[in-house]
Amino acid sequence: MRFIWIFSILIFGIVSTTSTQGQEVGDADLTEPITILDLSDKTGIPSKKLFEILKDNFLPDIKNNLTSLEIPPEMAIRAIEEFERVKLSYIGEIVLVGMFTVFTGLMLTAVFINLLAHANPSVKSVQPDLKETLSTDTVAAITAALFFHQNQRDSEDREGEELGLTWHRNASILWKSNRTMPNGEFFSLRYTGRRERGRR
Amino acid sequence: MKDFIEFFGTTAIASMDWRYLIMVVIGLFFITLGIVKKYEPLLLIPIGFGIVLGNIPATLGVYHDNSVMNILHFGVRSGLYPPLVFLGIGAMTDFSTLISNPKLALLGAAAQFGIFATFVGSSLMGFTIIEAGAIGIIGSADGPTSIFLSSRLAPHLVGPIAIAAYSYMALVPLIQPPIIKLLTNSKERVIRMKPPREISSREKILFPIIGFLVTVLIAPGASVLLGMLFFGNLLKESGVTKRLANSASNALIDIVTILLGLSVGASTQADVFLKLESVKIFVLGALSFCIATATGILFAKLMNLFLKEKINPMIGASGVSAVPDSARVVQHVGHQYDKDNFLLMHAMAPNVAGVIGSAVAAGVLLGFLGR
Repeated sequence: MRFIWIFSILIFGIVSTTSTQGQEVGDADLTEPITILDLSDKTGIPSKKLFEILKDNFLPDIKNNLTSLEIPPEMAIRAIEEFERVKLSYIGEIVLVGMFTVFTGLMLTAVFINLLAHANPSVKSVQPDLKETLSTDTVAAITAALFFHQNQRDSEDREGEELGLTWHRNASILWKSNRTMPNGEFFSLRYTGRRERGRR
Repeated sequence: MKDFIEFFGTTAIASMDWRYLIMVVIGLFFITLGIVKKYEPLLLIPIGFGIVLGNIPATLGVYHDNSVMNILHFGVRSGLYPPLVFLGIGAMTDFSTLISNPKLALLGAAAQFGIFATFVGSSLMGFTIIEAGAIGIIGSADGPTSIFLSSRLAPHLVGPIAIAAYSYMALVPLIQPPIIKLLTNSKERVIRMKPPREISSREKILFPIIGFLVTVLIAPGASVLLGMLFFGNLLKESGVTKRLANSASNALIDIVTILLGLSVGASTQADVFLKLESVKIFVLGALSFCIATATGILFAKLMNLFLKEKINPMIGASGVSAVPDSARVVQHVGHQYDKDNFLLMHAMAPNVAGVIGSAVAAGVLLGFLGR
């Protein structure tokens, strides 16, 4: 639904307009001493393209004014008309070159990124020379540490086993044992959820 | 009484007309969107307040020579702020996902078709070819790039282009999901991708250097933007310039964002902004954004025809460079169909590639249409 809303705005929001290029060309007073850059600003034609159209006949200078470059106004108007003629193909050219450049740029980047994986330092399993790096004292210390560690683990395991062996479930009559067992109060809380009052 | 009337004549109320009021309401709407809906608040609140600020008549605004706002706006006119924003973005961005799966960079390239499609559309809608280039870049969904290119090609359109670009960036969560759902089927939406491999710090350090050299040699027009982006990333990844990376990714980008947002907002004075041209730019911007999203998805589907390990075509939508919003949208949509499918990291790869791609596209347009 939201998409239809956006789409309809796009479709109905587009206002049909006609090109204002011709009017702008008319506005450009070519009898004044203007440069190709000024002409580009007035007509909205890229200066590089304008220069490209004119360069066959004139000096490659876009900063000097048209008069000093000996470009007659008629020639400038003809160049503008020439641009109007090739405008669509020029736009197509920009689109093609643009997409090609973007794809090439990112594709080459991707290729180089792939190569980066080879820049990783190879992980070699280093076998230290025990004779050189370990003194007898170090070996003794490590052995002692391992012994104590293992000893501690064993004693923990043993303790766990003893607990497991000594603990066993006894069948008992709760209502009888409730008064006699030291944790009777705990049982009453545990099984009834409330403290029994007046028993003790 | 006479003094009072004279004083009243100097107030903004006396000079206020309906156009300024409309703009003030738009500004307040932006602020509300930022605060209530939390759509890009870091951008919409400065821009919204800037719109309100710029549309109080009888104040010294952006277009008054040597006023404070005019001086702040210099950073927009001269294209100074965008490269600084790119420096911060570079210092914040982690390119690991792109490095681990470089083929996803192509999705970032495909999404740039929105720029060129809108360029064609704008030319056909009566804009001059130079203006069309500036408008087309809205399709990159990249605010700084849009401001940079429009300040170079069509300075008189910087306001509407920047507002359109930032508005659509903020509206990514609304615009993209319907297009994603329309162009993918339920099977494609649940495709799971292999987790990205671990990237060594050496690769991370080499990437900005190689990436910069490759892209800038192809599109030298984008050297400023790309240079700053990759430089920022090198500061982050080198590991020895943490202070600089921290400054770029925190203090610097925050300051520039405040100045950029405020001065762009303030440049939308009603008499300059409320024109048919602006409406057309907004329409074209939306179109551009939709096309960019669609081409990203369609290209991902095309890639799947040739790939053994299929990619989830939804991540193509994040080829637009709205970082990280569009990646977040892909994750969100993917999560609706498969709760255990985490697409965010995969979507970040085309997302960051889109930033590079849009800068390259801007460089190409500048090369053709710039002075």
